[in-house]
Amino acid sequence: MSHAAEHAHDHPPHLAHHFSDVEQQKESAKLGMWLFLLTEILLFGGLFTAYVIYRSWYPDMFHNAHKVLSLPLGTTNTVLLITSSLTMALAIRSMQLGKRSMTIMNLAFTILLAFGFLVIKYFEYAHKFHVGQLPGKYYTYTGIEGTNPHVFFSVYFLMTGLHGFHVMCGIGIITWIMIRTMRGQFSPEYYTPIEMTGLYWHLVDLIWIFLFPLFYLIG
Amino acid sequence: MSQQSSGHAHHILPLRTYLAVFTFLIVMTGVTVFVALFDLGEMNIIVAMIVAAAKATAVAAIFMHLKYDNKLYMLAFVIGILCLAIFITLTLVDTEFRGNVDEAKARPIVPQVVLPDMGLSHGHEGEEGAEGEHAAGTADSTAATHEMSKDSASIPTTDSNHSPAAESGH
Repeated sequence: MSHAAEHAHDHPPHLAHHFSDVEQQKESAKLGMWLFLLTEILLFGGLFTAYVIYRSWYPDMFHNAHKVLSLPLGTTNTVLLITSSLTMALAIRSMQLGKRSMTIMNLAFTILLAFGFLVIKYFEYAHKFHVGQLPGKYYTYTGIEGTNPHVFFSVYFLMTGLHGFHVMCGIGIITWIMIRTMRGQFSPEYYTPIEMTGLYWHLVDLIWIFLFPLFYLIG
Repeated sequence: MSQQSSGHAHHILPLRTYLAVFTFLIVMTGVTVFVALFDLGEMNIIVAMIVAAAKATAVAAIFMHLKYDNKLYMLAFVIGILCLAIFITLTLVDTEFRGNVDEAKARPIVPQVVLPDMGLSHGHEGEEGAEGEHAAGTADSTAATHEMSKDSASIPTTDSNHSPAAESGH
């Protein structure tokens, strides 16, 4: 029993044996997560590059095409994601302070806001499908002036689609973390998974912070 | 718990800080939307990107804790952004100046084929693959890239707002 008590004191249950101490474990997790985020940045980076090239080739068409996007919906989505970033950050802060129910509430709000984002995206996509503003060879809409309007929608659907997929994965991950929080698996001494989830979610927000002006605010 | 170093583990930001960043983000969103309503020519995209960069910095530094953490993470993040910047810049150096050597290669995307019953007639050149963005398998897209230069002849490198008929050299 005393061995277990000592063990618990020097070696908390959340410390994996291949780490020398809790701090090193946490730093490793963080570095690993940041490296993953770098791969995500470059993943979207490739698509941003495609966007930049196509827009440099067809600036007028891009300008005309963006008018069919709904600025109110896009702005609302931006606000939703920014707020979800806040609630995610507050969830981490709540666990730092040991407030479990507050953490759960903030995580729940984050999920709700993320769902709101997806709902709006659904309406946007549905409308486009309806009028034929589709990517590449499926494009049949005739109301946009300029060359190759299908290019705009190819890039639009690919980028917002991939981003939306990341939002969906984020909802799944945050839900899992919320369940783990409800089970009491986190504490002010150990909340690394919540923090890592937060980093991922902030990146999803970061990507949208760039997607929004590039598609909805082509001046 | 004696192993707990102070570091970031116990650095808890005040609620005020998070709310301030949130307010900043919302305000900057409003600013960028507002500015987009006016035609400032080239400045529109520049202002939009500056605002986006400011918002991104706030999220990365405060929400993602880069400002308070081990500088290694900030270094990793900055290096990633730098790689992306190099990627985009060098690619643009290529694509922006293609027309200088061979006029026909300036705009390799062939005008889109629209389904025949819509009344537009451009044959099937558009099927041959525009930089890989078409969903359907276009096995001959490599060959098509070489062919496309014939279709996109005489395209000036600046103004892109030509009627499709002129673009495809009809």
